[in-house]
Amino acid sequence: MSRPASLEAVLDGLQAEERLTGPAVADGRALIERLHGVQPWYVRTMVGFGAWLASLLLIGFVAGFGLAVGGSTFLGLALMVTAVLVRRQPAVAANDFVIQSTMAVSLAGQALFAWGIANLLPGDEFKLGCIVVAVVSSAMFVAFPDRVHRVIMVLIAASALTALVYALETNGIVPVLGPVLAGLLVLLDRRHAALVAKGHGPWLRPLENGVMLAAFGCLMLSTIYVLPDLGSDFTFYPQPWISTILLGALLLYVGGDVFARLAGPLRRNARLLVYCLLALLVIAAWAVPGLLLALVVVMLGAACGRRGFVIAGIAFLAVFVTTYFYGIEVTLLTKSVTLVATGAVILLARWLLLQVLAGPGDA
Amino acid sequence: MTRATHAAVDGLATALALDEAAYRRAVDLAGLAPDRAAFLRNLDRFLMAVGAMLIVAGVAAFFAWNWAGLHHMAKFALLQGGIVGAVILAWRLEPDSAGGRAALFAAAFLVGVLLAVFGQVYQTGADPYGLFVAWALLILPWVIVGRQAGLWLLLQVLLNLALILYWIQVLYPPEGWWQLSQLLGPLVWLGSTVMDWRLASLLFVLNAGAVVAWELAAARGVPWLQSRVYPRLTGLIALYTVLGPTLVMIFVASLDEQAQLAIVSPALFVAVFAATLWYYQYRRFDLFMLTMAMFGGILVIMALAIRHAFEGYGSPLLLAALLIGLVGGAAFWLRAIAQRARAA
Repeated sequence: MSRPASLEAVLDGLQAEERLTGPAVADGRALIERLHGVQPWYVRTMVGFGAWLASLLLIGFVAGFGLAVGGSTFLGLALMVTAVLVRRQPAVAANDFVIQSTMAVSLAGQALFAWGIANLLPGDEFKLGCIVVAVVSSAMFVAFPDRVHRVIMVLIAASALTALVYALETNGIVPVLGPVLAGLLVLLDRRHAALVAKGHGPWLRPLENGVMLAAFGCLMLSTIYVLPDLGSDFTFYPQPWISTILLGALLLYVGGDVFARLAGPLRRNARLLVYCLLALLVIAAWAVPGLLLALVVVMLGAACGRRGFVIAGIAFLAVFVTTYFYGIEVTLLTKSVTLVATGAVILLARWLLLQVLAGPGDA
Repeated sequence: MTRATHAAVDGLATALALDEAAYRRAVDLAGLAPDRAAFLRNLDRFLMAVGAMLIVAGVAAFFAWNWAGLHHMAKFALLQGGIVGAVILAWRLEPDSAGGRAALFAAAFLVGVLLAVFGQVYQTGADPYGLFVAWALLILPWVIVGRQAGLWLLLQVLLNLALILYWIQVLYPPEGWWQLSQLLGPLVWLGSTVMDWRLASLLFVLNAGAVVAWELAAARGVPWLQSRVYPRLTGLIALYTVLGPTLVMIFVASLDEQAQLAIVSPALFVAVFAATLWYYQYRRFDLFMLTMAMFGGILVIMALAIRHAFEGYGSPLLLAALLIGLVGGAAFWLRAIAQRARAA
């Protein structure tokens, strides 16, 4: 990967290759000009803090009127609609304070609305609440045009559905959730260029990031048993091997695809070796499926040059291994053997892969 | 010039309705698509790092499993072997390289672990501040020759801890209900120690002095001092040591019977607020420092408003309006001076 260029150079390049017309170039320059005004993260954090606090104070002022359940539902809906209408104004796009305020208002509105609906309808409040939260956050993902808000919506929806799975006592599904979300991430990544070209760019990246984080969370929940039972209703005993098999299959698919794309055409023997090494890795990581998910995410990131994926994959691996260390379902000796064996297989795989891929026949 | 990140290129593609081929070409032009050489290089680094990390974690798990049963000489040998190994690695890799810096930092960190195990094995009965003082003294030569912000930060943290522990365990053991903050964890407990204005002021001098020394040396053009990590983090600690007691004084004025609060901290806060705005605006532009100072100022004004200005049912509305005004004004001013600095 060469050094990242500037957006101006990209625009100039597309114009030189006659892929853009004059008005499109002018639009591109205007967009770049707007991007110049983006403040650094710490200024946005300060603005965000103020906006969230101010929004909560305003909501506290309104809530002080002493609303009934129906009133909370109506107020929640009103807050959500207001947040969406304000955030969709083009003039708001450059105003960090309004962006953060609308986000806080939206989240507060969703909480009030979900609580109100779950209390209004007959039936189990918790299950109803999970369903309402999942539906509302899915709707707000579409309606509220902000990437951070959209990532939060994906995470909230995934959390609500996972909680619902536990509440319905269908815990057997939970180990499948992480791999399924990871599969969705792979699918979105494969279709990324086509979806951006169809105008779906604004929601695609937040969806990918949200799905990736949700996959991390579900896998942690379903494979690591750190705490004792939190309640008699839920059983948290992990089943890592189910996730390992599914993520292993995904790793073989992604690994084969990435090697074919980036390492050039491989000889039959070399391809076989790549698959054998990946399979060996799956066996070594039998109790540590977090390693496989991290590898899938890192490979996706490495294949398309998305540093965020690579960093997220490595960070997740570090968190997973640390949590695995504190897990109470396996002895420290077993953990030690598993970790050393997996590490040794990875180093062996590295050496063999580099030998094979550096060969002249595969260049 | 705007950096062509993935998000920026996606935004450009959406805004200009690029087709799939044009989008792929834009990604190529942006230099975001990896080639074979980059892929192999990244693969090499990633597998090496992950493999080594898992083996180290596995070895750590093995010793954790067997730690209680290990002879104390074996424990010392392990830790000292780790220190010697890390130092040799730093020497072989060159202390200025990324690997060398990491190895030297690891060696400096392991010195503290060794001292802790020493105290555990021999039950020396020494006060805990002695551990941090000894640790700081032992690593001082490495900190000086290491020429890296990480080591200086470690030393700064050790000095802060040593001072705090010496103050509250030897000189003035705390009294009053607020020492119950220990129950909320070490960070909350450490944070609450600034309720004694004398200790807070000493911590302020220690950290603010370090920032001033760093900035003066950096102004002389020393290359490794141009990193902003050390002055920003140490500056944050210095700001907290005067902002924390100021906020506590405003919110719970009656606490001064139990906590050692005095006007010194608010006075120091005003001084550091003004000095930060002047220095980092006119002498060495740093938007981070200016933002932190503004944030501190907003917190103090809001605390005063909550405590004294607004009461009654409508107070959340008035407080929200004040907060919007303050944050909006600060953001507007920061944007303006950032643009001015870019233009200069």
